[in-house]
Amino acid sequence: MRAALLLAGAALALSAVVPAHASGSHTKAELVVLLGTQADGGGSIDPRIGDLPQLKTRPLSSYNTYRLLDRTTLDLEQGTPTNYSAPNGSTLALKLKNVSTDHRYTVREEISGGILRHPVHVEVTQSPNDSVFVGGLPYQGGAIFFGIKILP
Amino acid sequence: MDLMAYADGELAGEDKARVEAWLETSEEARRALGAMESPAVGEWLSREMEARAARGGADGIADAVMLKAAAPERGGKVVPMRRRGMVGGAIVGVLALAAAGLLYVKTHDGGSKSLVAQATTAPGASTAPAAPEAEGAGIEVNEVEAPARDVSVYYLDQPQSTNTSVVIWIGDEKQHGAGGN
Repeated sequence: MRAALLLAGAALALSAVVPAHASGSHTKAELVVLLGTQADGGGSIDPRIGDLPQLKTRPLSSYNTYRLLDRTTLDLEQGTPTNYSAPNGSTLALKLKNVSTDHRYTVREEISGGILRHPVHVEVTQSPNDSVFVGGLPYQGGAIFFGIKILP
Repeated sequence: MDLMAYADGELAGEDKARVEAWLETSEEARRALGAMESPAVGEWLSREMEARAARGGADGIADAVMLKAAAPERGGKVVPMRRRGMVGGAIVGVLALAAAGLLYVKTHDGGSKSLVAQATTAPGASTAPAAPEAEGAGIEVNEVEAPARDVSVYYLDQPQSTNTSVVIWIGDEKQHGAGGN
């Protein structure tokens, strides 16, 4: 009984020190799905998107209107794809390939289905809070973008 | 791509004047031009091509040359980019390995210039050589595979942020005759 209590206490202490989402074998990623369109006039940014200065920078600024289609947090397990069903009918699969000792996350992304006849694969190595936008595929008169950020 | 053509001395007349006007007003354009003229980029490209030739014959070289030659016809653009937070700064050269149907971004020490390149990947491309080593903070785009589509990789400049952002733009599907995509 005492051993069990000790183990439970150790686990509790460990969980306070090491956040579960940054343990190295798994992490959390924020996914925003955006629809970019070109509107007459000055355009607008959906206030639900929040502060994303990247939208006003080339090449994303080629669209002057952005609407938030979805925002979600995904759990990424090393070596196991996490699937997300996108509004455009495609599937985004994120796989955490590696976490380095200096907290660099190598993530492989696959977009398949929808209008794609062949899957698109992307592999990036990024730090927490770096943003990777993958997209440009036509959707609803504009283009759809997936913004992926590893959460710290 | 106009900037690349300008760097190669291929522009004349109105096109040349337009690029020169852009260079006068854009520091980023000047930086990109400087990167293109940097010997480091050429040396790295030569090394890569030599290595590819040693591994698999001259096809890779031909494909790389054809890619470079074909890029302006596709209306591609060379976009200046900056990698924030890189240790000691870096040149980011981009080699589109058309033979493998993949786009890679390779980093080099020794400067602060960056390039963006475009590639159309071939249908059925599937083999991925080893990714380049990370050289510090910032996003490393190790691989992009988008069969039969143009791909552009943009590193965004975010002066107000220590974090980096990358846009990987998947272009329209290309038609390659009856057998293409």
